[in-house]
Amino acid sequence: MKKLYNLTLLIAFVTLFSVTGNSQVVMKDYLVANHQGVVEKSLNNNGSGLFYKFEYVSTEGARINYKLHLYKDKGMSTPWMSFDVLMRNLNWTYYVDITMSKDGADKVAAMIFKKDLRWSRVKYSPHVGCLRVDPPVYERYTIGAETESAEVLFAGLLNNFIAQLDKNVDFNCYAAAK
Amino acid sequence: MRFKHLTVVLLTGVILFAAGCGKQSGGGENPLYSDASTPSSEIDAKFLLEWWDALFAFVSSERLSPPDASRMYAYIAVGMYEAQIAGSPDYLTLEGQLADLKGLPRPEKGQVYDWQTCVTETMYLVQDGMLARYFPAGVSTLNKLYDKQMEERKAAGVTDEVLERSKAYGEELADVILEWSEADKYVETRYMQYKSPTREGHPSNWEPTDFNQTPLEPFWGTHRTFFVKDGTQCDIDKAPAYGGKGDTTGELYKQAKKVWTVDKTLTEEQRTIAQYWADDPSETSTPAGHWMEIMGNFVKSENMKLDRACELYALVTTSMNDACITVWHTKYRVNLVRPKTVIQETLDSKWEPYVETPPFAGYTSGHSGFSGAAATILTSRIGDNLAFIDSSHVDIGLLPRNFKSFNDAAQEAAYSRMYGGIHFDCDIDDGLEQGKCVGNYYLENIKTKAAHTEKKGTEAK
Repeated sequence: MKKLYNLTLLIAFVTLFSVTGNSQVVMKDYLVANHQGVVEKSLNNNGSGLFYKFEYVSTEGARINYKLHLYKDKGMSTPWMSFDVLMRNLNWTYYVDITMSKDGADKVAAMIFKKDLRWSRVKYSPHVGCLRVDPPVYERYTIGAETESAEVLFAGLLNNFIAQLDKNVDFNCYAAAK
Repeated sequence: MRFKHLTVVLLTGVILFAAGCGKQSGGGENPLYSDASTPSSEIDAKFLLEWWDALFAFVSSERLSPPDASRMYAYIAVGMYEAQIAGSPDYLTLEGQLADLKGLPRPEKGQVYDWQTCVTETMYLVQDGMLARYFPAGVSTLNKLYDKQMEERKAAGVTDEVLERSKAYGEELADVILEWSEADKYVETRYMQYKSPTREGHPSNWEPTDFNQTPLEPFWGTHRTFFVKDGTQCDIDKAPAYGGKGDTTGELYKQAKKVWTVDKTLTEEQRTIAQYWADDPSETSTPAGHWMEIMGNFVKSENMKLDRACELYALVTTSMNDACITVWHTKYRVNLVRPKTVIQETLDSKWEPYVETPPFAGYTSGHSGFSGAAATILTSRIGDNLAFIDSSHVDIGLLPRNFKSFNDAAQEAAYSRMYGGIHFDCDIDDGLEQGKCVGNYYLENIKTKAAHTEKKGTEAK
């Protein structure tokens, strides 16, 4: 009985690792680099593209600090607005928290990516008057096929986050934030 | 003739009295205590923290579930408590008190032991038997820690003879603890089949909130408890019913609406609390481990001695394990639906909670049960209204939090589940009540302090 039990545990262990071993999407070197992209047909830019850049700032233990810049122009010369971003890359979960401030009060838009389940979800209850849709609709995002490169999957993850915020949040609310 | 009988009775009485006052079995002292070695009440307990820290990291990286982790912590803690008990004048064995704990080996009277080595050996072997050998990836860390601590004992002047004797005793004890752990029904329940009750005609019933969920540990509530009678002793049944999609007036609907409303207007403080106490099995030492980390800070800051620290670990871990069995018994008996299901059926079909909904019924909340039990024991043993800072999650990038007391922390831990969108009020309040019920039962009935220690405590008060 005990041997069978031990064997079951061993099989479960090996299976777990074979299933999760190929699920790496958030590579360490991505978390010291800048990332940029565009949300097409942005509600916050009158149907034109909304450009964004996650700019790496520093790493303090498990806290990785970035700055998010949003741009209305393709040249990305002057940010329309900027926010502090905290990333935490844990064993099985990757968190991105964007802090948005208005009238001296901070609120955090969060993206949580479960590495083994391969999907992310977004949560944000913005300041009063900053919602486009009430209640907001944040849809679960399943990352692409494993045949895609980790770089492409990671870019998709960040892009989906900004796109979901664009759909639900009126960024003009935060236009004073720089 | 009558005089002769009286003499024998008197003589026997004198001998028994003398034996009662002797060093081996003191007046109100621990009867197992022998003063041949340095007492465990004089040994610094900080070396224990290295073990627990290593185990917490292991539990997190190997994704042990909260019930699994709490069970393992409890057996290890009982092993370490018993490994030093013969060196403690002030504390009493748990043998004969914890369910089926009997036949423990005892050190040879009059021989010298190094209690630190006894504890290290026992901890090492119990964790290996229950955990490490099944997860080879992390074994080397624990092996290195074991070697380091043994080297430290040699460097501290422990002779080879004492070291070997102490290790042999730890090994003997660990064997018995492991054998004892194998009879708690854990192994049997690995092979039991469970079929979730249907929601058809029973909308209050739980269903998985995700396609890939299977009910976690449906038979955990049937496991042997350490000290409460069984999973039913602190059972509770105040869960409101839910009438299904058209129900917009029932009590559970109202509680679901509260969860939804809180989520919609989540403050930064509430979001931080939800994240802080999520204690995700894949990233932290689980809820039970989180409370042990809080306790560990007191072991360090109060410079606790080995016997006192071991008692704390034993009581906190076994009571949390019993609270877990109790809560799990209620979960699968009541089988109450989660907020996500009710909210999606009545308020917002696309709603997702901030924290991932775990794969089992909501009533009652596990984290609340763990927290209720731990806070009850810690309040009694360390103190009430004792402000502290918890920095357990700095390693995963979460900032330290301040608490006014253990009960304040327990309350926050419990309500974090509402902010996370995974529990109703009833799950939380009743889970806390169950945890406190278990904790109080321990405090009122378990005997860990020798009579003279109890007396000293009363006088001090």
